[in-house]
Amino acid sequence: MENVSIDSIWKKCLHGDRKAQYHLYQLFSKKMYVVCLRYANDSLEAEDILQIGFVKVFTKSHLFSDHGSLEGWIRKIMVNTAIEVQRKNKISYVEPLENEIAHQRTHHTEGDHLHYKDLITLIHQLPIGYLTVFNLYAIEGYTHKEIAEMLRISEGNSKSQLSRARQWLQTRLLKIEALTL
Amino acid sequence: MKNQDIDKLLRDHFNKLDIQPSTDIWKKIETELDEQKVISINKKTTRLKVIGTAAAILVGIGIVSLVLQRQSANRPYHIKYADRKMDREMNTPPKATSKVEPLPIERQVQLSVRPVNKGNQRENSSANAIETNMKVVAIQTSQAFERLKMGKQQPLMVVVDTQTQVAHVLEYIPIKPLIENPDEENSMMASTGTNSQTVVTKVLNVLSKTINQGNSAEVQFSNDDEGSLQIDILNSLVKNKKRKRKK
Repeated sequence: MENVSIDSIWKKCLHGDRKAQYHLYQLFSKKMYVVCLRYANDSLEAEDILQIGFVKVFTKSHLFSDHGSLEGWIRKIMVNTAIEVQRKNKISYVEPLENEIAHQRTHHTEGDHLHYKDLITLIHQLPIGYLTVFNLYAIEGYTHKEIAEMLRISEGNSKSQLSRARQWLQTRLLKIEALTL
Repeated sequence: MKNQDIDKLLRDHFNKLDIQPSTDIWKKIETELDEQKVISINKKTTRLKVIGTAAAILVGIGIVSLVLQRQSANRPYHIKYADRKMDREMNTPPKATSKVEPLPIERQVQLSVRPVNKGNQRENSSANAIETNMKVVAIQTSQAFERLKMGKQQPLMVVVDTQTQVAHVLEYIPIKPLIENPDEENSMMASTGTNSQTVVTKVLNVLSKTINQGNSAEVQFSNDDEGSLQIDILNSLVKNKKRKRKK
């Protein structure tokens, strides 16, 4: 039933129906915002990615062919937008030097979501290169080959970054678990 | 495998997250969508404008060409009409009740009127204005057409007065060309026409005569305005005069 309503909303979006577009935005914005948060340095950047992403969704709506899930298509747009924004900010996905690991990024997460704060904070502490690869592989489910194409790096680079990310997270998570216990 | 556990752990956690983006993001999205709409409409209108102006230009050209065609077709109309009509009239047995209307005589046709006599030679004399000396001689229709037949090459026109059923033969002078026969023009170049002769030229002319025995003087010498020697080549195949100057 929900699918039917999404279909009808989407058809209206294809014609530029502003109300339908707003409705679609309300349906998907939360999920997509989380996706953006995972990739961004902070919530401000995440909002930028979200905004650009949705504009793309509505202006390129004719490109979505009906097979496959709409949510998956929108998500892909968000991920690609995030990578684009990172590229604009000249993020390199080459293995970072030792001193970069110590770099801590600021975050502006809401006070209400305290129980998520740790994870988001944690994620944002990862060097962006590790984080992106981890996101793409572990969360989005891309292969190393695909990641290599998207980020214009070698497959080996992708693999090594992933393993480093995992190592890093592992140690941090253990600490968090220790804290919450 | 701990790797996969880590992945799953984080994945599950992220899926459960429910964070609301700030409310003004939608407004930003809307603004940008409106801008994009305006851009696409502008592209469409400029396209339409281009097509529209192109169509208008084509229509304009078409109308102008039509008008020009009509204008050019109007001029020799009356003369052609006369000739055509006359041909028809001549082939059919001439009737007194011919309904030939007086042909429109426009300013381009200059008429000079001569008394119609059989055996007279028609000559192109200087043209007179239409308003002066319009004498027409009444003549029987059949005779008029006979005249036409004989002098078909000559510029004649037969006008039948519908009221009196009398045929008049008019001679009209065709339009004088602005330029005389270009083949014959030899006065295009600014020249005095007369060639002055000096002792030198006279001697040279005698020489050329003796060399070209019997032939008409093809090469002659004379002096031009400034006194320089000039060779005149007569009867040359070349239309332009060649002038060689010797000082």
